[in-house]
Amino acid sequence: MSESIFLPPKRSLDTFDAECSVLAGILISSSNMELVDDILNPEAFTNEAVGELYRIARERIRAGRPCDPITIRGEAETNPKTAEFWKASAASILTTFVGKPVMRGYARAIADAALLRSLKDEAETLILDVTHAGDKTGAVLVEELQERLERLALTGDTERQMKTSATAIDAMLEATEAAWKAGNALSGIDTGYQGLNDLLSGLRPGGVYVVAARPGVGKSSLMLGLAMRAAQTSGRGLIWSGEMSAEELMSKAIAGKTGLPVDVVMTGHWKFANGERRPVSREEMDRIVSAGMAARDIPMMVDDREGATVQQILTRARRMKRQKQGLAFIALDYLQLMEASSAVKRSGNRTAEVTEISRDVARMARELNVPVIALSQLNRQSENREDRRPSLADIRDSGAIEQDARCVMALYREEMALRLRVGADGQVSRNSGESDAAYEKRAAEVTERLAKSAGMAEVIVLKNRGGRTGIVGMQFDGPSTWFRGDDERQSDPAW
Amino acid sequence: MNQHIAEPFFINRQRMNSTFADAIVQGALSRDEIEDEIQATAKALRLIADLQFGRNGRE
Repeated sequence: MSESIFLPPKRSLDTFDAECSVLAGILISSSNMELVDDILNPEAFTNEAVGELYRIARERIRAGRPCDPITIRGEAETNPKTAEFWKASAASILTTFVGKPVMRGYARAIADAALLRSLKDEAETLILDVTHAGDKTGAVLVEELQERLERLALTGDTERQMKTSATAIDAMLEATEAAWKAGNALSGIDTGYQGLNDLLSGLRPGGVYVVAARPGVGKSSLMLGLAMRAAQTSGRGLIWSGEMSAEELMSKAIAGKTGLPVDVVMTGHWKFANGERRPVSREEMDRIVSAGMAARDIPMMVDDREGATVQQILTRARRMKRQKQGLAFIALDYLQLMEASSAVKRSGNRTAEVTEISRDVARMARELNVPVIALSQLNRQSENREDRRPSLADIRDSGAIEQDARCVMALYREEMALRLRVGADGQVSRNSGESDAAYEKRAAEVTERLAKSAGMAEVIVLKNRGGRTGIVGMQFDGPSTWFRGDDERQSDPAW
Repeated sequence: MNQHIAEPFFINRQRMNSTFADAIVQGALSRDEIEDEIQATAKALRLIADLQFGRNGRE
């Protein structure tokens, strides 16, 4: 390929001269190391020998040992990477030193050239993948490239400040004081539910909060309730919804706000048991539209692609975190729908997959320093017990979820558990070999409990690191599938 | 002294010192930077000599 005459001349990514100068400066005076140490890694050097000498010098200086050409001579002459170079050029290297004022600039130039070289490698790999990796779609390649660029962006981020214990304590005290002044007893973000706030003190950054339930109990609805309320008070959230589309999720939010059934919000029609359909009234339509407009102002991103990996979500979350609006929390609906890495998937072991996903989610929470609300399925065991309240052992597929979580909550609706004992005819189903008297007594009891538990739900906090466990009462509105705290009135805004 | 090798050194040193002096006169370097530069130059040359002859011979 011939060079176009319209392009500016090629820039050189070879920084050999600057590398020699930086090394000489350090060998002449060890105190110069602190000018470059935070910017420059041995891997950034184009010349392997100079890079290795830099590594040797850096290790000695960090260990507080003397470092000059004489003291490192023994090591330089025996190290296979440096021996030849040292013998030929030790003296001439020393004359290439530059003054202190320019050393940092040289180090920056070397580090940046290294970043540019990695970028070039990535670009070349991409071209190869595009033309030759026939099994990868464009979307997959974009995703992979984003991940790799993300990693490069982190290595290029050399000016980032390290957190000392002093600054960490300052930040903590500042947060505590702000909470104290605001009369806010939470150490994390506001869940929007008084009962949960009391037990958990809010959702703390870096922790995983698992909400587990049997299918159909309302995990997604509770998550949505938490997310809508938390986003209003604490800032932008990211929801990964592997089961429901973003539109469905938002129509649930609008159903909660308007009190109309989800189905009505989605279709704009009331549907009756006899099959008749009637459009919603003008007034109801206005309510739907104004709830929709209000929902637009809530800072939330919904990612509804199926079978996402934790890595893919992490990539998006990192990007969101860097943007001005930031990232306050992540919600995942639900863990068992996420994909594990292909290596683990090949093993065909479901427990290993969920274990990996759970570990990665915990790591993501820590890296981004945001709370992660992770929904999880429960297995059937709890349904076979007389008291169907779930326990920690009921979490499906993996004990790792329980271990990695800061807090595990099980969502339980007695009404739903009891309904399983009622047949299609509305009668309590009869156990085999049950006497009439025993059946009638049990049927009356079930019917009574069913009436009492209608519209009620419980969030059972099974594990709470650094806090109490207990049960938080909730109200559940069936048609709009919305959870409210048991201290809230139906007329209180859903979010 | 090996005249053949030493002569270009003295000529170049003259040149280097005059560039250095120019930079000082034009105010391109602060007092501390000048001092650093002199010390670093001396130190670099001394280290090269140490590499050549060893450090113990002089102390």
